Amino acid sequence: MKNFMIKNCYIAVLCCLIICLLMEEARANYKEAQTAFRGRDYTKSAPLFFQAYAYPKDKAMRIKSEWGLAQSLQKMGFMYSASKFYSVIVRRGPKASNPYFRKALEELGRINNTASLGQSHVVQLFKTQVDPARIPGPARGFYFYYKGIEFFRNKKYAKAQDYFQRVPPSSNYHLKAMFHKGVIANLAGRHSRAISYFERVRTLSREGAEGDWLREQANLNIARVHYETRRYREAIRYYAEINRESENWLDAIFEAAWAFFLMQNHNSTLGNIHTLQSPFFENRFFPESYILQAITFLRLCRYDEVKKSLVKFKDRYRPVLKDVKSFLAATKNNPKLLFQTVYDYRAGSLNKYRSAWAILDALSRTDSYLEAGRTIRFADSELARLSRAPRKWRASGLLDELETFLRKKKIASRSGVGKRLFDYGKTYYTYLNELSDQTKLINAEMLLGKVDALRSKLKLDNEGAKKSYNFIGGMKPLNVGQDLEYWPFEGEYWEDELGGYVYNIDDKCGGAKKK
Amino acid sequence: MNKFTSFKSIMNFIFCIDTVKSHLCSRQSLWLVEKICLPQRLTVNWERWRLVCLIMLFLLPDFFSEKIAVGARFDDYEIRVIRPRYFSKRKKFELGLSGSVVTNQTFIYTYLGSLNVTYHFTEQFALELAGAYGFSIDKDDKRILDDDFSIKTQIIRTQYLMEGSVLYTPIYGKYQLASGRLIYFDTFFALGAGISGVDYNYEQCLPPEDQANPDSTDEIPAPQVYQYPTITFGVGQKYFINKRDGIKWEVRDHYFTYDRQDGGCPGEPSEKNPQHNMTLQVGYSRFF
Repeated sequence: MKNFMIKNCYIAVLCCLIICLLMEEARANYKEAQTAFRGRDYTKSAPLFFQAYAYPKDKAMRIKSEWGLAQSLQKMGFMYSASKFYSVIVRRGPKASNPYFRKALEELGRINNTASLGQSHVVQLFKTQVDPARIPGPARGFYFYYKGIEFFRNKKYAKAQDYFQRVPPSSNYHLKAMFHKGVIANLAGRHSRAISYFERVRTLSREGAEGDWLREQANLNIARVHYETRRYREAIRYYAEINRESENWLDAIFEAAWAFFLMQNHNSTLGNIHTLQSPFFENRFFPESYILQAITFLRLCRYDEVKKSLVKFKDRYRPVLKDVKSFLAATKNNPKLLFQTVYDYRAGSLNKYRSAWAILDALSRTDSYLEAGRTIRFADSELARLSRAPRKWRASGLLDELETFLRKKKIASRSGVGKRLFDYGKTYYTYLNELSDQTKLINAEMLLGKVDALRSKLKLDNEGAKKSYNFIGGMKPLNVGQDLEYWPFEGEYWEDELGGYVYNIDDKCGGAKKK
Repeated sequence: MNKFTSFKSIMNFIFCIDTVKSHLCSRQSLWLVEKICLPQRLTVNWERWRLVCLIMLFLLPDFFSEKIAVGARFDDYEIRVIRPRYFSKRKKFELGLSGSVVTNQTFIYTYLGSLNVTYHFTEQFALELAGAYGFSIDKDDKRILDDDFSIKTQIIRTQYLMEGSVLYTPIYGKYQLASGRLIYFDTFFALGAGISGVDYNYEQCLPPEDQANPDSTDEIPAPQVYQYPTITFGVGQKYFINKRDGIKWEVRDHYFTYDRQDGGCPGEPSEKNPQHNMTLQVGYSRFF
């Protein structure tokens, strides 16, 4: 018994000695790290801070080392790696024992401006309840905007509006918040207010990638509000503002085709559809364009063309349905595989699901996929830089810690987006099935001679037709004194002509011929 | 689509008349040639008819313009592109610099540098004022004639040109390069009048002591420049590299009559002769 007690005492003393040694080492590391940080030698300070953080003398030292480590990493341009430690600080919330909360929040806001952290990352960050009064000035925009986004995604628009309202005008998030306020106003049926928000976004957006994106989204949304309120001419004016090089250009063309249809400007509708169905956009997903084409021809009593459009739809999309079904079945429980398939399609290395490429293309253009792509790119670039880090980083354990974090971030990003893409894929599949049913309906009603019944289902703008708005090709209005150029279409598509087509055919419904 | 080079023109018939089977002629151009310049009923001798067509082009611009306007809108086509004109010249000044060479001279090369100012009243019609000044270099043929055969020739050395022309642009077209870049062009015709300055140096004349008649006292005239009223007509194209600048080429015939006596040696009889100076001109234009 006595021997046992002596043995335990030895062990305890040994442990104390080891702890004391580690604490001493941590203190020494922390001091050395501080010196290196002050001397701007961040390559040296980062592993030292990490050692002091992993084996701290006390809690205070751990907190200080954590901050020092995040700062060192940020100064070296390892934004994602730094965000790991800043996020830990922010998630602890504003407490007396967490003195770096405010600063960490500000830094995360800055990082998010340069290397997007990803919406889900930021929303997760703000799960902790925080008194808004304790949010520091420079981080208020960042915080309130993402809190607004969280509520917006959960369709709690009043709460979201409240948060967006609090984003300060000086913040980088101000225009994005204003844009969302426009969307909320429109959802609430306050169309004029929505347009006024979008107009302000349009006017105040600065030059640059983000400004251009915001301006374009504002244009698109103004057009949609006008469309919704049956001001088709104004809608087309804003659709025409979307740049040809934009991702949204074909959407604008398609939506404008509907606007033209509702204005009974059928030649322009068909012209826009002609662009959408050109071989340049073989893999773009606009199945509804065939339906719109069919009903436009129906409206013009051109029954042979109606049949042709429906046949074209069937020929093009029946194989798509089959391939999409098998693609969704194969990736149902494997979101990473789904992401990888879309990624391979985008990279041009996919050899499967040939008929479903239009849908894969649509998936690869979703905001979620693009955001995940950015996250993965940033993570990969940091991983590549970390692989060249000094040996001390590996020895200290810092490198393993960061690599594990970045790899997990990539995996999480792939899985999260894979799940969302699966939902989108299912929606597209359902949509395509519905359109397929509509073609049967159009066919049946045409055969039964119920064209008038079908037409009455469409809310055509008779007033609009009477006003006879004049458009030249595409979405361009005819202006007085304008010099025009004409090009015939003879079966050969020219890239520069896309978006400028207009049909030149008559109404065959009897009575006076009109174009 | 992935064309190496594509070409699309509206009424590019002048270009195509000479190269009807050329790969550069699009179907549109041929369609126009067939419909307007080469109607189907003309089964033979279409060479003559195309000339008639060209003459009509010059003599009946209003009539032709109407035909063009109707044809160029492609009303018979089910699908067409209508859009604001890429490059509008209407009510714009054009300032151009170019270099030209007289291509049809046997014994000399004549190079001219020219400056032109053009005002475009409409897309089709413009008024151009141009001035050119240059110099001549003797060809080897002239030297061989002199050295080997003692033949001295009277040379028409064009020193300057001053002309005013009406430009008519009935044709516009576009090229698509392999890179996807589009280049628009205009094809125009010019008809005008002006003055040609011809420099005579009388080097073909012999001094009194070498003349056949030793009693002759006829001195070699001092070099001088004669001015002749000139009629000019031509055809050319302008390629628009952007919305302000263009590159142009043009072939022109400058026609005038001169008296052989003007540039002849003393005692040369008076004789009116026609002269065609065919110039090939390449230059740069800027629109204001």
